[in-house]
Amino acid sequence: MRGLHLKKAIPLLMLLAFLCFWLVWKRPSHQELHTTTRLAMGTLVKVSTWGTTASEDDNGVNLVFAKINAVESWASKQIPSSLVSRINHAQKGTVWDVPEEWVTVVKAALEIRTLSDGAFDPGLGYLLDLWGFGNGVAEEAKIPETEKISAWLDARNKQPDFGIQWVQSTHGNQAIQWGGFSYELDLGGIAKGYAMDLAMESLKRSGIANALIVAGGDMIIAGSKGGTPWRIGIQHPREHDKVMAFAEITGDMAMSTSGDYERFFMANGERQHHILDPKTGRPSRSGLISVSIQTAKSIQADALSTAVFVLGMAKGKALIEKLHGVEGMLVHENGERWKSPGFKGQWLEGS
Amino acid sequence: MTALEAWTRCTHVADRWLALLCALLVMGACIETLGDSGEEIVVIRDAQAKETLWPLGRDKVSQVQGKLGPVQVEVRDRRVRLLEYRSPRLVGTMTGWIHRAGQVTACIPCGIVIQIKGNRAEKMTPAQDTYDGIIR
Repeated sequence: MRGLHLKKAIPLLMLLAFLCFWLVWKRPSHQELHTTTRLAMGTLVKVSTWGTTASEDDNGVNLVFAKINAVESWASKQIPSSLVSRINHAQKGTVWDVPEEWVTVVKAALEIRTLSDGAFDPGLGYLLDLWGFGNGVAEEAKIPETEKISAWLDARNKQPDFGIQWVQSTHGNQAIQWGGFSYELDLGGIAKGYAMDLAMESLKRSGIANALIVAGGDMIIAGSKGGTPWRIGIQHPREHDKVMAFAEITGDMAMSTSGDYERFFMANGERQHHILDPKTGRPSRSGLISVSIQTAKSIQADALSTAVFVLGMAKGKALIEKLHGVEGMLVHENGERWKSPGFKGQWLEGS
Repeated sequence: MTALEAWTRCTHVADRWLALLCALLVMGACIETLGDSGEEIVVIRDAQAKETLWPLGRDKVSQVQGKLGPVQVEVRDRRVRLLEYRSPRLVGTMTGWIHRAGQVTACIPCGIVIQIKGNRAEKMTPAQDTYDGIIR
């Protein structure tokens, strides 16, 4: 016998080739989870897709950020050319043609303003600037002069109605005439939620059925990870690196959390945070330090979490229980905790 | 007679090429399936959305242009962090060392996001990752 000869080795070669193919084909499917994080709307936005190829994920991520950036371009108070900025800086009483999405967001904001008896207000732009929370990069952290806050409250009390008149423009479009003299639009508490809804819709239209978008305190979910639920942590309001509760979610859902721990400064021995109470002109002292809301739509969750935060434990619970399809998880500074029966999530032991 | 001599005696040149080919195929499949497919990299996305890639395995300190001025980024011992950042009012709080693929550190007011991308950690199964997202 001298050698194996090529012809005789063909079965061996085929066996080895099959083995190689099988090893590659049986690779674990964990690479189906793609995650991308970018900055948008003044926060980190994390987009995860499941069961997509790299190019499908790339395409989906681009759609998400295109939608978010498009909303930001007209809704941001920090962009001088945005529609919101132009309306804020124009003479009150001017008639403005407004696009449909502007109408959707502002009408939703005003509806929650009414539902929450003014606890959520999309007209606090001036007040947020006064406190230095308007742009998020204020150099000096200090409490504004009492006279300035009082002057704003006086003006607001004289005109508790928001002052928007919905009119028909000469072109047949929706238009507004806004005479809310003490108000300055700041849609920061609701536009991000709306952008998340649009972003998720565009992902679904592109064929991505399993996705998660997290943007600071807002989150929207679709589907699952191959049958495994998305696992979401809710940050502990007092221990930065800790999670106090978690939720395992499958299917479509939006969740939003408002807390006094993300944007604040300490002054006069108190935490001066960015969730202002429209009735006092100062950071809300309702006692709540973290509020999470789950709903079908992110626009509603975003605004309601702020509203409930300002309302406090008793009124906040009452509002959640009154609304269909709305669930909540509330934490009070005295240690009291509450979650509605339908809230998907549970407290972590020792949190 | 050594093993090499025995092998040479009982094989033709074609057999040897065949054996080499088979060995390469098996090695390739094993590496693709079990091994690391490349170096982990640090992706730095600056205020102008420009991405810069650094290897995580090479120690380096360098400046990146942020909205509020230059920001120093340090890579050391297969970890990366923002060395200096201006973050008034605790806005850009996702700071500190990161070392695992998928982790992010950022200075939001500066407009800078740093993320590790690579192989090992990204190949973790979902069950190994604690949370898919943390809502803040």
